Amino acid sequence: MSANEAVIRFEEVSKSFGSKRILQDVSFDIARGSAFCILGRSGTGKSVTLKLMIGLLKPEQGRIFVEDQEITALHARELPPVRKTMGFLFQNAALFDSLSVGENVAFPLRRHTNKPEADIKDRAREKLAQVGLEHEYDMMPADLSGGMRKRAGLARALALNPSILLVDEPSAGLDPMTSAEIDSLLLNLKSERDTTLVVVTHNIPSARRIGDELVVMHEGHFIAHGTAKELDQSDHPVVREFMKSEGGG
Amino acid sequence: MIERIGALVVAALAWAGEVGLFGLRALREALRPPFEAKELLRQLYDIGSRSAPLIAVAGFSVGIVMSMHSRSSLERFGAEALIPSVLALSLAREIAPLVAGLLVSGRVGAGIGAELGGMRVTEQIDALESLAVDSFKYLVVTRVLACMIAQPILTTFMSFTGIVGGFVAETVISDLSFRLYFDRAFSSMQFVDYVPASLKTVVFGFIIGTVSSYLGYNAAGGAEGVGKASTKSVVYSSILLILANVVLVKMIIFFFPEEIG
Amino acid sequence: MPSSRNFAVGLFLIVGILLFAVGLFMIGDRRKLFSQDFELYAEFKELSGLQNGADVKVGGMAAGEVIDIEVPPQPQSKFRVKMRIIEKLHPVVRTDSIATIQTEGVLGNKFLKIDQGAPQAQAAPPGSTIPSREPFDFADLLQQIRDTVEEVQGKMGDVFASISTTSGNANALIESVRGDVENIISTSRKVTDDVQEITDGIRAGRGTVGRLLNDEKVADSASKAFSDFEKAAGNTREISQQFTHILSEFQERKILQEIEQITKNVRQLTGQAKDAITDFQAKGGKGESLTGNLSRTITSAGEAMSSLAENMEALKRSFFFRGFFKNRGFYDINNVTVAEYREGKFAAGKLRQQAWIYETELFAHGSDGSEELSAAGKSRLDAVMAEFQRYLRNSAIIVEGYSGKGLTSEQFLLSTDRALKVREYLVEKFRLDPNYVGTMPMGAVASKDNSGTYWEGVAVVVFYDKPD
Ligand SMILES: Nc1ncnc2c1ncn2[C@@H]1O[C@H](COP(=O)(O)OP(=O)(O)OP(=O)(O)O)[C@@H](O)[C@H]1O
Ligand SMILES: [Mg+2]
Repeated sequence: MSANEAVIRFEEVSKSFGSKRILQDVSFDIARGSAFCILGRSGTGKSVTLKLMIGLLKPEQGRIFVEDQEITALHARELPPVRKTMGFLFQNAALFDSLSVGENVAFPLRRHTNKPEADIKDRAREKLAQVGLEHEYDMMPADLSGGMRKRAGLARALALNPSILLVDEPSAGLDPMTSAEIDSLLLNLKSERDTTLVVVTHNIPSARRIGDELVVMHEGHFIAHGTAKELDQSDHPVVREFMKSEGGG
Repeated sequence: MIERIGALVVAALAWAGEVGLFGLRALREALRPPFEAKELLRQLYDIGSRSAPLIAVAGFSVGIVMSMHSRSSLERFGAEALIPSVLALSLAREIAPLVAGLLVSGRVGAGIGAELGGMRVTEQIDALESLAVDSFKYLVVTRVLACMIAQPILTTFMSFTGIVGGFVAETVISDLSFRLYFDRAFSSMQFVDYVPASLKTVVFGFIIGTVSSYLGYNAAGGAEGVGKASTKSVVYSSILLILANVVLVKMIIFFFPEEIG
Repeated sequence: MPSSRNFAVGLFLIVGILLFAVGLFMIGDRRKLFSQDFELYAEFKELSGLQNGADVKVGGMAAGEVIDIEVPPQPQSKFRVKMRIIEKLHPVVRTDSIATIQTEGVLGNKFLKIDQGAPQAQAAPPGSTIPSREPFDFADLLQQIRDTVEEVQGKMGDVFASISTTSGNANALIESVRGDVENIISTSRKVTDDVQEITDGIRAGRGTVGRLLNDEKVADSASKAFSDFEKAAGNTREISQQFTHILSEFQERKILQEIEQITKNVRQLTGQAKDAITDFQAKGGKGESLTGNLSRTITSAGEAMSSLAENMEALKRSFFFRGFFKNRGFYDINNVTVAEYREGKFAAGKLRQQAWIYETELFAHGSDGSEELSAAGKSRLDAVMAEFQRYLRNSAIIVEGYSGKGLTSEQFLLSTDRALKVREYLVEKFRLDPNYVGTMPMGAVASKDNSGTYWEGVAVVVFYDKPD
């Protein structure tokens, strides 16, 4: 493998829950600074794949590398340093409901930096402003709408300026305008910070806009892997169906 | 029938073993830096400070009731002078540890089970992990430790408020000074009545913290799962606490055979 | 918010730790953990449940604790109790301080009591063994007295028989000792009666055992408990053991020790008398000194016996009367000697009304010389009581017994006997509260206002408040 090219690498990874196969011998590379979009119908295992990348789930077989570290071989105690370089947006945002929105964003900063209190708050505010929540710093997560929660979760994932950003359906539940803003935020991160993006989405236009590489998951396999154009040429019925649907998520 | 009971026993033992390992892991992790001091403080507040009023009121009432009971039986022997010391002895040795233990397993056990269960099913625990935080250390170790620290203190509160309750019940009947009542309360108490009983509550705290954290941390099945975790936390930690008490009392008697009459 | 939370946690921890420390201190203070101390030993055959860690009290002050109890290596040896006492109290613990095992309250813990020593004795050196007294068993004492009395009666019978079958100057001797021997036998009969009365009292849960405690209410419940115990246990020994600690008050005042000692004396003296008789017979009753020796021994035996009877009387009275009179403003009859009674100590500030009744008005004599209340005597007493009726509220009645016959000890016996017979009749006939009717054996000389006059019979005295 080429060390400076692949930031995330799956080697024949298999994952199942009970008798249910989610991934079967899946291998792929994600290049540094690229945007990798995962498409697929509901329940095919997109979120599971994302969690495998950050070590929240362990595969039964195969190896997963992040920045040349085989995370599947790491002890739980050795994972945090790797995770500090990664940002993760959960499908349901997973904000800490005992903390305010601002404190959710400040949380990773407090834990992993020695910045003074004022700097931490400034940084948290800045991240919230990037997702359009500059006025919601002191609100509690329970008082936010689903879309706002999602954006707050993204702000938290961005707090430590990760070099790898894993986002699970960033535009789900958002209006087209906000959705477009999030897309351009992600594109900005990619171009300005060379951030590697892994995006799970149902939103095909959005995937076309930001995705360098797209994959379609189906029954445990990547049935298609390539640029949007390449996927448009695919003769796999499921892929064709998918690329035609254009539906937003 | 017997097979089913056998299977049940095996399952129960396996469960207990798993919870035990979970607790031991918490103790081991507690000794390894970094220490989650801030979070521990927050848990001490939730588990300790905020339980104190409940424990104090309960202790006070228990003191009054026990004082009235011991009066009615001791009076027959003309031994009213022994009421404070009988009350204090039974509070310190058994009543305060057990009642405080059960109250805390109700209030705190349910709380921990629900809170951690909620965090588990809404992926907040995963979120912590994704933010490079050791969720076990952050959530479980702090709660187990806080329970172990708070339990003996709450028990002490209960003993003392119990004595105050006894004193109040007694002032209605006689005009003993508090100073004298208090002196009498401790007149036949020995270290062996007081110290081991207080220390055993550390074990109670460990049981409550471990069992409810285990159930919450490993909750599954959405809101219903959270509810179950919460209920089970109370039931299982209470039962284990009562069983452990039997063993601990036996142990105390074994180690201090002469002093405990 | 976080600062107020930190405050709450800080308060919680500090108050908790402080309270715990207060508890430790309260125990430690009593245990004298933090002060200087020294160690002593005392030995006991019988521990009565004394345990390691039991309190040690010197002059009633909590002074330390029992720290070790060594089990005797063989049956005859004693338990060796090691105790720790605070240094502050060292000056009053002398080599002659006596250790006894006592009970706190009615059902309380056992503790070790150490008397303050005599001023001339040295301070007990650390590590030394101080003298001890065995725990007192009331039932044992009663049994011992009973045995002694039986033995004495047997021996005296022998003495009498031996003397009469002895030739020589036996007749003179018989005359000289007959009085003493008769005295001993009748005194011993009285002692047996007293023992019986006390035993019956305990068995019936009657009497005033409970009143031995200071607190009236405690006493009530104690005697209730006493009869409960009695029902459950069904034997005197058990009960009296339960209440031995109540009797420790007697022990304080040495009555029981005295009785125990006197019992020993009686046994010893009558033994000597028996030896003297044997000697006397062996030598054929010859020799002045031998006769004198024998009669002296028997006289002292007789004296010892009457002092035993006197003590039994005192015991019985304290048993039944103690604490009662106090409540109505009378001096405790148990604490009044005959001399003090004569001086009016019993009911200072009360008015008195007295009725004198001569012996012949009261008693009919049985064939064996014993006295019984006669029908005439009874109606005489009825008349006296009719007279006293108006004084009876809140008052006490004392029946004074008088007798001028024979030796002082005989006078004492007969006057007691007369007073008791009258008291018994009055209590029964007029349903008087037995607790407020006492007896006082006056001997021969009538009380103050008739000073110098001898009297034979009784005087019934009622003590009452000035009418308002
Ligand atoms: N912790 C788990 N235990 C058991 N099964 C799981 C678990 N997590 C996911 N699954 C199962 O794995 C499958 C894939 O789930 P996943 O969440 O990855 O779907 P998805 O592709 O993200 O779907 P969606 O688009 O609806 O979010 C589902 O059928 C789900 O039931
Ligand atoms: Mg998903």
